[in-house]
Amino acid sequence: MKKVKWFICLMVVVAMVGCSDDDETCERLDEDFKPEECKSDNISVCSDDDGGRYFIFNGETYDTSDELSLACSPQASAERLQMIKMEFDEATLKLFNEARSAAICD
Amino acid sequence: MLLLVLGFYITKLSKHRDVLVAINEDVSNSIVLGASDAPETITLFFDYNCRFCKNFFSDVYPQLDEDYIQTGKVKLNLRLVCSENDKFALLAYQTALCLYKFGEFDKLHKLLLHQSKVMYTEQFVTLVEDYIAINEMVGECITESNNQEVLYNIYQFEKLKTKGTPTFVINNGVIVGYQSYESIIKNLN
Repeated sequence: MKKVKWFICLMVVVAMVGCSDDDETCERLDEDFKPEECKSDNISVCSDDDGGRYFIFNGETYDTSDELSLACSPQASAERLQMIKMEFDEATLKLFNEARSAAICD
Repeated sequence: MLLLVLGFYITKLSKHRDVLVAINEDVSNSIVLGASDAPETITLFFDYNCRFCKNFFSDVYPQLDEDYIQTGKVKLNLRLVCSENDKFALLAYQTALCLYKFGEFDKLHKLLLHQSKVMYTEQFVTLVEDYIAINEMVGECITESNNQEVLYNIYQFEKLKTKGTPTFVINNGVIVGYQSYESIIKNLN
């Protein structure tokens, strides 16, 4: 009987952990959304519990698009880094995604 | 002699006026915001890469839209222009025109207003390729036009001999540069 209770508690804990993990969502960037320099890299845009954004680049976490741009192309010129940063900009990505449906007829 | 000079200037003024009337009436290369039968027309030569043009949309357009465009009093003819040599901007603006005709211009408009430099990225070229593949009419419009509609806007814009964008044509008068809401209304009235 004790084992059954212990198992139920364990399931509840697992379920709670599962719920808390669900608050953090990550979306892997499609190849189209990645700059030329890091097309083959794994990049995800994630949002944390507080609604903040961060990026995961080949398993490493980066807090800002500045850091991510530098990780994507450490040798890039300042001008090119600006362009890469712009490509990773959260609002730009969102609007890009919305713009994708602009040619779909109802 | 005096009459000859006067006659020359009157002819010149009349020709200039004809050009402005033609610009305001020609909607074939325009993105028309508002009712097409609105009694008043504002033509705006607009470049997404120009900061003051974008300021118009963030600071002036919302009130103009609410008071005059939504109420059917005025229509805004948006004429997209850029440098003739900027092939990325030409493609982006032709795409915007084609989406206005056969798709949803507003979505691309929002993206370009937010970050016009996206038009120079590979993602943008892919986006245009997607439009061409998804919607046959948009596709034909983009590929067959060869950017002629935007080039025609540039041609008409050059006829005005103004210094740059934004340039407004209101009531057959040309107003160059950023204008406040009050200034636009004053010129309309």
